[in-house]
Amino acid sequence: MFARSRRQRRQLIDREFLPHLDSLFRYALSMTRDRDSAEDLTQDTLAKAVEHFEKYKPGTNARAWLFRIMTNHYINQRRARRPEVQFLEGVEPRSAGYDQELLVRTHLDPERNLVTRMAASQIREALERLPEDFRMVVVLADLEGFSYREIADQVGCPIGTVMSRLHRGRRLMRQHLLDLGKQLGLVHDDPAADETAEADDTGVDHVLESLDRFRARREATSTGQGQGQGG
Amino acid sequence: MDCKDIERFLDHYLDGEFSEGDAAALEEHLRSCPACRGLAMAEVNLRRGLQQQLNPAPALPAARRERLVDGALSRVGDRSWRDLFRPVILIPASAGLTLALMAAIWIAWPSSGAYDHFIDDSVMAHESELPSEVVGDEETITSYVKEKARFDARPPLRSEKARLIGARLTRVGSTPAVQYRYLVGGREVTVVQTPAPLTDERARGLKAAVRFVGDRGRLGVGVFEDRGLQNAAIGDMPGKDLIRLVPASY
Repeated sequence: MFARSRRQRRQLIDREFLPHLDSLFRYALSMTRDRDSAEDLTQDTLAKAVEHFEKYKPGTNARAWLFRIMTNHYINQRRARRPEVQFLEGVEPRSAGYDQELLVRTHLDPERNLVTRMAASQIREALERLPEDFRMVVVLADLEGFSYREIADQVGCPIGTVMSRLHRGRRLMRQHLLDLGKQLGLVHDDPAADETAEADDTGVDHVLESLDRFRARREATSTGQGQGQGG
Repeated sequence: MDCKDIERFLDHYLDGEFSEGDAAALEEHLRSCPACRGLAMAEVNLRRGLQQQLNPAPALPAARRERLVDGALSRVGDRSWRDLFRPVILIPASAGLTLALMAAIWIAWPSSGAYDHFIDDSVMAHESELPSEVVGDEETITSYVKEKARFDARPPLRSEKARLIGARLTRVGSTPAVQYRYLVGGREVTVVQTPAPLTDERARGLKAAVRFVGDRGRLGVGVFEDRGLQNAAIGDMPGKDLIRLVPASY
């Protein structure tokens, strides 16, 4: 058996899992929305990873493996605790669309778009208002950079479900961001009152180049983090 | 592709989940449609903004990291303890015969038996090398544990060869415990102490009752009871040498 003594287990955690602890804890916090519960969930995840370490193939993606353990554990706990609750409750079947025009207007200036003018805590608030199942996939995709396949594997549902949850979750989040922006006085219904209204850089070459750079960077992150599922 | 497709597939495209052919078709539409270019550009700026604001995850303070790892290690221990005993809960319900068999094995095969978990936890405590909560001379440490421990704790070794250098409060399973650190001839010896669950007449006397002497891997182990306290001494020396440090045991 591997890692029998406490010292060996400690070494295993230090070597394989500690580099991912910050993002694991953030993920736990985004799901539980409570610091103590997030600590519990993180500790359980590390304990399970140590216990089942023989299922992990060294050199493969420890990060994806840990996130899967945490997601599974969280979903199982949730089922045991609240079996009757529908976690997408209150969400329209085709969730209410955000004001697309407003979103475009407030995000065209890369330096002064709405999201960069908000505080990180306000963005987290918009994220935390999402129903749990949406929040989970949005965090995994947009903060952690996992691919659809990896998320499907972690959440234990078909890839089509991941895509539709992600699509709806992102739309809802954008709606929350715009609402919050209005409350904070950063977004106005009248374009003339909006600081970002005048920026408009939609030239073909510029846009395609930006999209290319964005996609290349995302693919690099996803490949670096996403290959070779362990266990 | 038309504007409706862009709305539908922009996510897949930006997420890098599109084939080259589909990506080229989508870009073809963007070349001819300023409105969709605006949407795509705004979406990229928004996502970059999110990443800039929220990534990387904030670094946890060292104390919390330590607490998370320490908590995880304790849970591993707890779980294996429960797993080991889960069958014991099921057996009496299924067959008295099995119980009898277990009793026979228990009688015929005396070993560290009841002390196994106590010994395992004590070995882990020794190996974890967690810092002492109190250091100083024996008097300082003695008064610290007397005040802080949730039972009548007192330093377990009384040998000139063993010098007490520190102590910390801990637990064995759910039982409160004190972990003492001694130096014996330059080597560190850990003694974990809990209230004794099995106190008998002999243990109430002046002489400590030796319960087990042996080893766990390269580490020697000595378990003894002394006036209502159960102790496990662990150190990098044979168990029989460890037990010589116990008050009046030989």
